[in-house]
Amino acid sequence: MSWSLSEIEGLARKAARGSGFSWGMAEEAGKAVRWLASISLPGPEALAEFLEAHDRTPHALMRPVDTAVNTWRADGGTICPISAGAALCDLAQNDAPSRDIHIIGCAYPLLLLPFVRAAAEDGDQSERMIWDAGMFAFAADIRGQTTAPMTARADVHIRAGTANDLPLRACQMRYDLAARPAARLALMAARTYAPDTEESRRGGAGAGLSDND
Amino acid sequence: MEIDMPAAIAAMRQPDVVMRLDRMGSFHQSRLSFMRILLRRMKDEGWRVERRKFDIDACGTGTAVYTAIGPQHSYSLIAFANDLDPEKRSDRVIATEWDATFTLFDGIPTEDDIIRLRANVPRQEAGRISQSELSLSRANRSVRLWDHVVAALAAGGQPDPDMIEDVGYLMRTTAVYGSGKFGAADRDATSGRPEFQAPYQIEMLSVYLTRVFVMDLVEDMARQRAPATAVPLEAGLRRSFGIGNSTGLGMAPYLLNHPALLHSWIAARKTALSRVRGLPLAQARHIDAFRQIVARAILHAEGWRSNHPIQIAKLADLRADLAQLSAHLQDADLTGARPWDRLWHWAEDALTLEGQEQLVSLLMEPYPELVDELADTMACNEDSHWRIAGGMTCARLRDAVQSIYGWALDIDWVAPEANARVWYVSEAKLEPRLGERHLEPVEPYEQPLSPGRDAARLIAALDSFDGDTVAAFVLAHPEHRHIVRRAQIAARLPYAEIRGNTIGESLLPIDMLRAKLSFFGACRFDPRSDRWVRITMFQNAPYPDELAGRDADDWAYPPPEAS
Repeated sequence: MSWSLSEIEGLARKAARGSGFSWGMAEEAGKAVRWLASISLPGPEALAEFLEAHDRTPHALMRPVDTAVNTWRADGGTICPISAGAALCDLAQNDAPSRDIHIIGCAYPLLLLPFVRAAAEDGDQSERMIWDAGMFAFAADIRGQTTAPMTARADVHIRAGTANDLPLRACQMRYDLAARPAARLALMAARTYAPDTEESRRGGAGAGLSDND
Repeated sequence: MEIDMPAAIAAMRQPDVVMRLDRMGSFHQSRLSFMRILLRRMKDEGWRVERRKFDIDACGTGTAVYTAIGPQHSYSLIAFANDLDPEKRSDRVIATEWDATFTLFDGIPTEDDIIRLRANVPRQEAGRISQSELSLSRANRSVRLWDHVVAALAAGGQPDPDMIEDVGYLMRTTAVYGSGKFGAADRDATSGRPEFQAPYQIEMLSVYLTRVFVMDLVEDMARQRAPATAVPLEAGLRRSFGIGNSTGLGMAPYLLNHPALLHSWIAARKTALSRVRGLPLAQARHIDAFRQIVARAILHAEGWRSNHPIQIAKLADLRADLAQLSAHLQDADLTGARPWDRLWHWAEDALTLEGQEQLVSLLMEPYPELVDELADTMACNEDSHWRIAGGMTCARLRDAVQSIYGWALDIDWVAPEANARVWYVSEAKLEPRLGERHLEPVEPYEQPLSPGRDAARLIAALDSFDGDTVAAFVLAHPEHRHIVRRAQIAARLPYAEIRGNTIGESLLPIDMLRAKLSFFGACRFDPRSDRWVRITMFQNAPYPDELAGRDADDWAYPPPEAS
């Protein structure tokens, strides 16, 4: 089914929240997945798999322990791509993008891509992201490809520089999301909805007076 | 026109004053309202509206298409009329059937498009629309007025003007969805078009065309009932019908979810006021125009009805304020230096919030050349304000939070009255609702719509954090990432954040609804409870075929009384 990108973003944000992300991190996940969908990469599908694989894992176990060094690791062995990506962007105005950063054990590296691109934009310099199944380069344009977008875990390098031999990525305004991954995300998102009670039906939306006049 | 810029900047009001909920709940429509921006453009650019299809049977069931043709693009309102069982008529989001449903189509639909949309649009949230559609909406009849108008026209007479005055509309929309909802095109798909640069122009165009359809439908129903005797509505009477709207809690979180955009709206309003206040002198024609608009605002306030105790009190305030303003204007010298600034200072002491905010709107009226261009500043690229500035020091962040959320830091957030409410999304309708934290099991589902409380928590966390930068802080404390982002946005954009408790016992969600609806250009706010409100849109506005021959922007207040 053809989804609008704002629908994709909303679903991804709610699914991430339902899986235990803080609201601020869930917003990052929503924006990241929207951006991936806008260049025809399976961000929604990757997020669904990532959230299922690491459902409700405490953030503290999956965040980079020390972002002052060039090799980022998480206490639990696997790094959350949203957490690492957000950290990368937060540092982008300082010095991070000009360093070579090595992220060890990044879950679903596809989900890290949007943050590298954002860091390139914020740091105002060309950046590349390289892992065993793909390479992307972010400068004035977006270039890159991956042979295995759903790779579950890989070590990732982030380096300054361009790669003009990589194919250009086209942008799109819609995303075709299959029913199955949509349902998996919706199941996570549904955890953010409060079950209906008679009380909420009567009071929550504030009815009272007749509205048929 | 000469504006004293330093004085104008000094006159920009402080966010702690402007962004209070009770003041936002007293906003009025103005020259910068989205409906008025739309009609000014349609007139300036010579837009035409064609009725391309009107195929409705005697039961009121069928399809109609109205196409608005602009300089570069055309947009078609496709209406599906329904013979609704009165038992099923409800404005609440829980309704599943309506008197009429609509979509705004990007271009001119083919018959195949109409067939596809007929299978989806009448189902509203349960259906699916596509990139070709820009909005999805529905409307219900005002039962009391509809039957009266059909009967009067069928009998060859005109409806009772007092009844029209009393209700104001024949149909009211109960939701107008845009921007990517239910499969519709995202705002990004059309925001580059000049006609959709200002906010909510798609939704306003959809409602404006809905008004044309509704008036055609009521006349057609009268004709089908009594072809020999039926007459059309007299033109002046026809214009006195607006489109009603029933808005509930679903709209309230919007202002919190779009802080940078909220800033753009409020800043445009405040800039307009400060430009007028900054004028060293007022010309006689501007003074005359102002006196006349005050007289018309008095008529508007007199015609504004509500049975809700809160609104009755506010209307009493407004009417008393306007009477005071009118009396003051009898003697006030507006020919001296900085007349509007002096008037404003008088109003700050003499008038209630209702009157002060009405005055903001009234002061803009004589000065299209100072105000109208600000419409171009009311859109916002929210993405450009979204990223967290990780290089900021924690000390600076703390200062910013103190300054923006100072009002919240004195509140005891553990006290039951301070955190009595919970914003949550219901499983049944996926719509925002407001629950009672201490009475209902909804806290685990709380939405992040309480910036004040969250800022107080942020300050506590900053106080016990020993790192230097915001980047380090949010890495260690992802639970504060959301409020850090808000605080940084509000530090750059002073009107981004509401300065009031959005989960307190005394919260009135209708204040948030009114703030937003006033920017639409809505009039006659009529709260039906503390959390849903009825309004009227486009009342007295010219119809599309009248735009060329009439003033497109002189309808928001009733016409002056003949003297």
